[in-house]
Amino acid sequence: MRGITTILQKELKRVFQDKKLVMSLFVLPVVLIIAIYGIMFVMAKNASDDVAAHISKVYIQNAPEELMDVLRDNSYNGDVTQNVRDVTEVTDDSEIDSIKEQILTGDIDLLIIFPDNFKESVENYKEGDIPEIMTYYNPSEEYSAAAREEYVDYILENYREELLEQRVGDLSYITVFTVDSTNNAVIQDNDKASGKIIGMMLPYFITIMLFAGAMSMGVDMITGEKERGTMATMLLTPIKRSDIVLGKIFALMIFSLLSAATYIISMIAAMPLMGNSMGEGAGADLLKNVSLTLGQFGELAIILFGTVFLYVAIISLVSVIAKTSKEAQTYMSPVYIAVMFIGLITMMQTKDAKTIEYAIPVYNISVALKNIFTRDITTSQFVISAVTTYAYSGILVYFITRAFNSEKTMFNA
Amino acid sequence: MAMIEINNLTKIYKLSKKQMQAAKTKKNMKTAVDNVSLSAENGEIFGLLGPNGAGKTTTLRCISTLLTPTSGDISVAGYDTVKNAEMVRSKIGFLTNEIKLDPHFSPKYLFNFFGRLHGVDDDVIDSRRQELFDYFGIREFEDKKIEELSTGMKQKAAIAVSLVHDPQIVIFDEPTSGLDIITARSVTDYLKKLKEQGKLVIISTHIMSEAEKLCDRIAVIIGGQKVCEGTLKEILQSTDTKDLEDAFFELYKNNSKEDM
Repeated sequence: MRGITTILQKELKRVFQDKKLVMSLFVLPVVLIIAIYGIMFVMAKNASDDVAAHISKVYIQNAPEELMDVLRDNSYNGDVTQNVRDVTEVTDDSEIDSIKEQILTGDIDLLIIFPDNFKESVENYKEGDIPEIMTYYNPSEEYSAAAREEYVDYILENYREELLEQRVGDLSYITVFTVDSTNNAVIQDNDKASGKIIGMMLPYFITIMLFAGAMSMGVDMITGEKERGTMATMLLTPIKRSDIVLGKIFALMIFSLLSAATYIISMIAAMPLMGNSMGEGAGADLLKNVSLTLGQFGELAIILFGTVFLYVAIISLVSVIAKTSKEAQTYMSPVYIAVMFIGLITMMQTKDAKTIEYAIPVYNISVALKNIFTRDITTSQFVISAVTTYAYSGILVYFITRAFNSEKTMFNA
Repeated sequence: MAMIEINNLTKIYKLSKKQMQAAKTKKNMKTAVDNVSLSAENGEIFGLLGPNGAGKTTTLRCISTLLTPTSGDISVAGYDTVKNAEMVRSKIGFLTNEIKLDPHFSPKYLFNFFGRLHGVDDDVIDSRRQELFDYFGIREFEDKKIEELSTGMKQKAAIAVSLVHDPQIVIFDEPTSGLDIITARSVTDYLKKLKEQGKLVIISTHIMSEAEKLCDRIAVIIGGQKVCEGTLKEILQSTDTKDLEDAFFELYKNNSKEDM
């Protein structure tokens, strides 16, 4: 035991006395994440403000006079402080091609062409003879797409309803029925709903954060020490090899958890920014709705701790087998991708997991995490995933210890 | 019973394809130590003398439990190096060039760290540190990181750290290599002091003068085999030579024919 704590203390000191390491492991990620979300937020807000402030440049041909009157009225809900529309009538067919070209280059946002005698066609409606209004716009231009949305969905739609009312009198006569216009149709457990979103994303993020946090440290702590010849000095002391292994694994688990916590804290700190750019308060709402019961929290903690243990054991095994740090990095990438991919599988799965799936290494972690959040996990499923995860980690520790005893892996002899 | 007793030690390395290419051999085995037996007692300095690649370091690594003998056995202070490796490690202090101190830490921290790993009490560690750091003049750089030290300073720190638990048996693989003449002298003087305290010191060297002056008994190893063992006087007599260098060449001539 003294051996384990001595090794653990040394590994912690090694990292925490190194200002550069502390900066790159724990400070930089916080700054980066908050800065990135901040910049993303500012840019997204600028872009949407810009589109909102932009006055669409629209060309209209053959528009009925009553519609043109409305469009020319430069007030919006009675507010005349700013120009709200920039509408030009097209009088000559020869202008059309040049207008289309300018739509392509983004100088004009929208062209609307009413058919000749639009008003007469509407008024003297004959069966099957429906006049078609044609619009031309450029969906890859933000201004153009926004202009079309405004004109088609609001202005023309309102105009259509107005004409319809003139034709049939009471609009509700042709509405026949509505669906859920006053009724609140959604019957769901809000906790479970937001749990589902979190449960879908979390296994993936957890994997990235926990695995990535321990990856480079693990290589340095094990392969690096082998390479530098400092491992042999430790192997010459009378402490058990398993003490060295456990001391290093516990240290790595602490680093992995710390770096994951760093990421989570900075993401929560950045959440208001992210929420705003996703729509007012969406991120905060998501978190607010996830209220874990004490039992769930306990289950989560047990699984997460097992996950850290398993991932760190995988990293350590790869590190101890590799002869050089470079070799270790080479082995680590496919392992990382594989673990990440398994995390992704659960993201896309809709079927309930069979109980046996809770025993498949790594995969069971994602399944269990997901179903803890959605409250779909049974006690036996939880126990199976927890016990197997710890058992797999234990087996790996056994093999790591054997590797520490092997002169082939330790001294390349 | 001898403090160190080696019986028919043989160590064969399996070579990887890369190593076979590097050694330009088609054999995938290399016999580093071939059926070596010897014993050493408390209160003597025992020298393994041989050219590079003769098997000295492999022998010392087998004694210190880092390597497992392919055949034969070694007992250290009555403990078998394979069955009771941890007990053996608690009895020995081992130093070799390839075994290094972590560059990120200071000599003082590492001394305490290894003291604790050896199970030494903190106050004993403190007094040992005082004694050894004073003797080797480490005190003035005890708080500097190893990576900031010169080769000589590093070697001094490594020696002090390897002696933290006051081992009964001290095994130094080429203890003075890379050291200036003054530091080298302080190391050999300390080895003599250890011997006077009744400890067993085993060193490997290819420096004849060092072996001549320092060692009570010498085993000459050539091509993995022990070709001669005895006091300096006995070796000179058996080879009919006047100094160790001549004796060594005489032995080398007679024993390395198949290698030449």
